[in-house]
Amino acid sequence: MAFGIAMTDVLATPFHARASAANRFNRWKLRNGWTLAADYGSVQDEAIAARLNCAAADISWRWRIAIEGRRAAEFLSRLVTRDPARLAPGTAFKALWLNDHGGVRGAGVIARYGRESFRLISTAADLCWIARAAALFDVTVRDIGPEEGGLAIAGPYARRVVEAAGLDPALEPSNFRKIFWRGLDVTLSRFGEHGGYELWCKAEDGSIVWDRIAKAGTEYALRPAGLDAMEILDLEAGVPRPERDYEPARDGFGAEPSPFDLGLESLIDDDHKLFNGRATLQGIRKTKTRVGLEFDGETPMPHMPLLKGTEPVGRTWSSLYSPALRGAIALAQVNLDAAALGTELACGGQTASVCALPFLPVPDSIGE
Amino acid sequence: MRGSADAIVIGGGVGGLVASLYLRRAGRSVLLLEAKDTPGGVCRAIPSTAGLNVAGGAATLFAIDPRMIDELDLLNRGLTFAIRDMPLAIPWPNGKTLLLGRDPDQAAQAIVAHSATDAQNYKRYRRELFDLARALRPWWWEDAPGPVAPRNARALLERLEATSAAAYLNGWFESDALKAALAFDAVAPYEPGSALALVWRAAQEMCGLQGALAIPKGGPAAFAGILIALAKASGVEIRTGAQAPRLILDGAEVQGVELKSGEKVLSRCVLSSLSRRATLLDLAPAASAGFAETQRLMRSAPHTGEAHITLVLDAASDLDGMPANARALIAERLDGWLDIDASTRLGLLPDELMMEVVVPTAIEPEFARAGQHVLSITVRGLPAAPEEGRAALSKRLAERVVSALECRMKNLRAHITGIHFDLPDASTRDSEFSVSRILSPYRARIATPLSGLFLCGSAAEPMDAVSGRAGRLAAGMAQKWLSASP
Repeated sequence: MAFGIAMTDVLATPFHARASAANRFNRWKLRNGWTLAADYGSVQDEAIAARLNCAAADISWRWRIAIEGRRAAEFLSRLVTRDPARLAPGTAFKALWLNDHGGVRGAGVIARYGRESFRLISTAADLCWIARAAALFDVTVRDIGPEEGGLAIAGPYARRVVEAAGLDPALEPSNFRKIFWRGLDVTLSRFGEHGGYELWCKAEDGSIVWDRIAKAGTEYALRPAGLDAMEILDLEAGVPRPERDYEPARDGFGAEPSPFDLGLESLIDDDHKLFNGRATLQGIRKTKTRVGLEFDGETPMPHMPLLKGTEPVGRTWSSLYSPALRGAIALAQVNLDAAALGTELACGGQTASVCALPFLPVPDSIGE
Repeated sequence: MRGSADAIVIGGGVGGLVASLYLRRAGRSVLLLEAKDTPGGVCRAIPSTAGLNVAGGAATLFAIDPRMIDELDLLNRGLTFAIRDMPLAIPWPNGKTLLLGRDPDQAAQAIVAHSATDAQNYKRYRRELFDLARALRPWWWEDAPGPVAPRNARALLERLEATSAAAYLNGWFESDALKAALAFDAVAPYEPGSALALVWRAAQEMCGLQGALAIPKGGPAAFAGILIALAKASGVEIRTGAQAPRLILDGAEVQGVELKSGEKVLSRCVLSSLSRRATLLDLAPAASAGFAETQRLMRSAPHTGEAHITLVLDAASDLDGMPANARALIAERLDGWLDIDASTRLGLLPDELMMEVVVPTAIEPEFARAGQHVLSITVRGLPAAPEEGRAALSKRLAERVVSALECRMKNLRAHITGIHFDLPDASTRDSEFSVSRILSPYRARIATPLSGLFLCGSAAEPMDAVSGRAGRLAAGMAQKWLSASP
């Protein structure tokens, strides 16, 4: 091998062949080890399409694990902040998992596939923690990233596209269904924060799925959206992401960040009596929260300090230009006294005002 | 079947008995669950046919909580001491025995014959150790928030936190036999910070004497007997043969225990004499301590253990080789502790045995039948998980111990009429030594991640010891908890 070092494999998603044909400017990005198109020509056009029309995006980079075993429900119930025992097969919820001291290690979707079989989908991997904890319950954890690809179909016309592709689009939010789709085993789900659907298929079926969706979408001007456009959608939905926005808690690093400080307390089920970190959570006082910021001027750098008057009150997380809002927006973590809507905060020489989250609501689905 | 009690105490050792007595005094109904036939823990009398009156564990006590003796009025209930201040005897390689009493001047004079430097340093060593011990005593005796060493001792404390007992002793003495014997009390003398174990031991007090060693009249078994009688009289319900109960939880709150028989006893408060590891891993449902803490506990099992061997000798035996009224520490080389560390990690019996020998019958003949003698031997540094299995280990160990003693006591083998083994019970021990354990306040060692669950046994002490202090303090915390949440 060149340079005498073992090179890590570059992971190509099941849609890579089609994506590389569509990626006219050959702009690529790495996410969780996967090679993905940064954009297919214009980030802003793709973001606008995903909001006003429809767009398909490769989401195979998301970290997905299968959690299986006789005690899988018991284990997950101990792991996450809501009780998966209450999930019926075919449904899912969003939840957090915490370290022993109540700090947020990660957030994701827990989907129940069967009595003893679950999936966890998250934007950031935390395999070591979850696999070691699962071992205490004799539950197996398997990374299914390489086995399955995922294609998100976002936008108001997503339902029409799915229908045109010959799939039954009748599906409640956070539900999913396995479908035998003209010779392919696929799973159609509605886990996302951006509305629309996700279509999960076997790795070897990636190109067929892409082609079928592309064909069904021709009528609705469906276009592929790259990672950057999806990032805009993600931020507009106001969802904080581990590693992008906040540094997840690790072992031995206390209770930072607490779910309250991230503004994620809605993901904790008060009736769920026993999950990791719950006992210490009760003693934690909420001092900060998550807010949205709108800027007058240009897009600030991420992780900038925020001042109220001369007093430092928090920091921005990620920030970018939202083509739909025609302005710069940022997620931020601020002290409670600076979180009121309309509060003016100084950020690197320009003024930002606190606004409600999400920045933009999920677009109404047409045809529902 | 369902019952209920204000508090359930698991394990009837000294810690468990003291905790139940204190809770009973506070007006709480207490159920004490003991796995064996009789309570008493390591102080339990040996169920023997030889007419013995000794405990299976160590023959001496050195850490009994004076406040507990006082508050439970044990001195008026039959607790007296046969010997209150046992000297330390160190068999020297040349066949002579070095006798170190409490008086540092006399001790120094005794050492002069072997090494003038050591004699000089011994006095200074004692002074440094005992001064620091006195400064830290309030914090090792009561539940204080943290070690408050006086200004002049702070630097020393900080140094000892990172110093092993072996390194500390090496800094003071040149005679290997003296260092090896003194290192016995540090339990794991090559662990960083184990010098603090020597300080902790010096901070203990028996009968008003700092660092003293005592044998109660009738032995530790009699001491346990007094506590058991007191518990029964005060209305503690004692249930023996109650093995491996499981905790019933509601969320992270204790609701009671379920016995192996299927019987459930409800209680919002459970005190466990077992180790933190055994309590949170075996009694509680999986991972209730938290994922990271559970994994830490699983890795933390001690690799060494100690065995208590009791030898019964016939009347004709010759005790000349053994100092009668003293505690003999047989440890030849300080380096032997390094071999022990290496061997026990592999599950092997080390080449050199570190032994403590006490002859209770030399102090009080009542311990055995007329004319008989009892040798109470504690062997430290044994593999906690022997490769050959525990049965084979005890057979080989008995042989090794007897041969080692025969160097000093001629014809010992011919006089043995009975032998009793008490191999280490791993369920009550967490670690042989840990700096964070010895330096954390009592409440941190007593409290658990589950609300309503407290530790009251020797695992809640700064070092493994029969003291009753953790029982007293745990009962206080439990009582406070019960009052706060009616």
